[in-house]
Amino acid sequence: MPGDPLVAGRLGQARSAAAIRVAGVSRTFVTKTGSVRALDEIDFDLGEHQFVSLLGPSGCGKSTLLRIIAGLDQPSTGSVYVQDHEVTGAQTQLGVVFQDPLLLEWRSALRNVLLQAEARKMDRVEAERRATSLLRQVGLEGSEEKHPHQLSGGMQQRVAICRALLHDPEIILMDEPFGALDALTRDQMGVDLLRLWERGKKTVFFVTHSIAEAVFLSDRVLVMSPAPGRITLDLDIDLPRPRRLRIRDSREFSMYLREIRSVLEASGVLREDPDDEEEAVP
Amino acid sequence: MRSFVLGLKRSWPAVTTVVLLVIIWEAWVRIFDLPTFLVPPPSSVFAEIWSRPGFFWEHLVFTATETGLGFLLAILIGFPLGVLVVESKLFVRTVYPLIVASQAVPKLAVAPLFLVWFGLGIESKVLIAALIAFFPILIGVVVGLQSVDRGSLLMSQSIGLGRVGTFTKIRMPFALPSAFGGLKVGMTLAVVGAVVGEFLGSTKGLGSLLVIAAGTLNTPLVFATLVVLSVLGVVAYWLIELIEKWALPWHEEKETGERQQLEVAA
Repeated sequence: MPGDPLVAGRLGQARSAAAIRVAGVSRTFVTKTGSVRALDEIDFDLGEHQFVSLLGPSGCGKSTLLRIIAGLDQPSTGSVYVQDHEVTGAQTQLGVVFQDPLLLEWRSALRNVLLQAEARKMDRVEAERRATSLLRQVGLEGSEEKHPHQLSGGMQQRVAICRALLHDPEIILMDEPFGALDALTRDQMGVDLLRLWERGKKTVFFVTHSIAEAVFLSDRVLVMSPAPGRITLDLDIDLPRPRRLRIRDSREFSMYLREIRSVLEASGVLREDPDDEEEAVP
Repeated sequence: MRSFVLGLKRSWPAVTTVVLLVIIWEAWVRIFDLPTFLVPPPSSVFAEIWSRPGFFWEHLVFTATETGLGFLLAILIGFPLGVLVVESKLFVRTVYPLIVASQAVPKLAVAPLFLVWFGLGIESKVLIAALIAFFPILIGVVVGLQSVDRGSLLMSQSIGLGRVGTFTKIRMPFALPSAFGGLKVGMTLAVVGAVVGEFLGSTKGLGSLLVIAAGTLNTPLVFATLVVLSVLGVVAYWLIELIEKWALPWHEEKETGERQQLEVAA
């Protein structure tokens, strides 16, 4: 039911307040062989409580953009504002999930999540209660004391997500969090992530190179061209929520896929990048 | 208990080899009737130890004390220096090149100077042991601290762990396996340092015993001392391994898992 008045109303309202504002951001990397322009004049606003995906081929600079928003990298020109404050250093109030789980192998799952609490001197008892509850919500009840090498890749990434959520951030940045997982685990992670998101409706900025994943998860999809990265499409996804996996069989879903694919084809992505072959089939 | 049985299972080929070699040695000496002052049979070597265990124990304790103190001193020097090398650019540019260059000087050749400066007592031996043991410890710490993966540091930055927190909670644990590698090398070198120190001038210890025994052509005593000395070296090394297993349980588990997989695959 695209055009659901409730959904449209919420989105319309959310657009007015920007959680993240990216203004004229370019990033040039200087290497031995010369300079490489990774990002070219990126402009967009991210509304509060929205789930927005940034979609693009490998190496188009989308991870760089995420790091710039998180304050872990600096733009060459332009600026980024998070909740109306200009980003000048690491934005530790955000929750950041990276492509690799980056768990500390000497800590149990629970204590890996609690690293977040230790970093911001949260109350120990309260943090532990919340960490346990988060691990339960992502289906890791009973695995709290396991160490990373005893967990599967998907479970490790779930722990990493719990770590990013422990301090209840208003904005969550996710850098291809399911990129290293197999297709089935990946779908399940998407479903679980949405369920988690439905509870708090935080602002999520989700970087991915999977068209289906982006459409399935998001309220809005930004499509990026190959390097130098530019936003080539800004598409609202008006699919009903909460979303079920079978929505992927619907006509509307296919139409969104087709629209995005045509833009990617126009920028030469789907023919030139063999890495993204799997996404040629919706 | 399980690990003990597993250890026994793994070490029996080595034990068998040693026993076989001892038997061959004994037979060789008897068949060719070699003079004892050249090569004593193992039976007389063990008889030598057996006849006066208290005597060997006394010298062993002395050398072990020198080794242990020298090793601790080496850690106290090597560890902070290793941290400084990684953390301080100023230190890398000023002092570090001197430390590296100093390693080109044969350290044992400097040992006589230490006896001149610090006397014939235990102090000179401890210092010689520390001098040759600290460098591998330093290198182990440096390599370990530099091996921390960039992603984890980025994650640490994103949650705002800060410089001290990142060091104690991420970089240091990451560095430990490599640091323990340095400690193991350092420990064996500390034994060498203590013994060489005793060679040069001492009234006690296994090193001085070796010098006296060889000087009087008491070859069974030389061999007996060597046996005791190797026991000291092996036990010292094994102690470090024990501490490593206790300090890095996750490392051990992971490796055992991988090794078992390899054995299954083989």
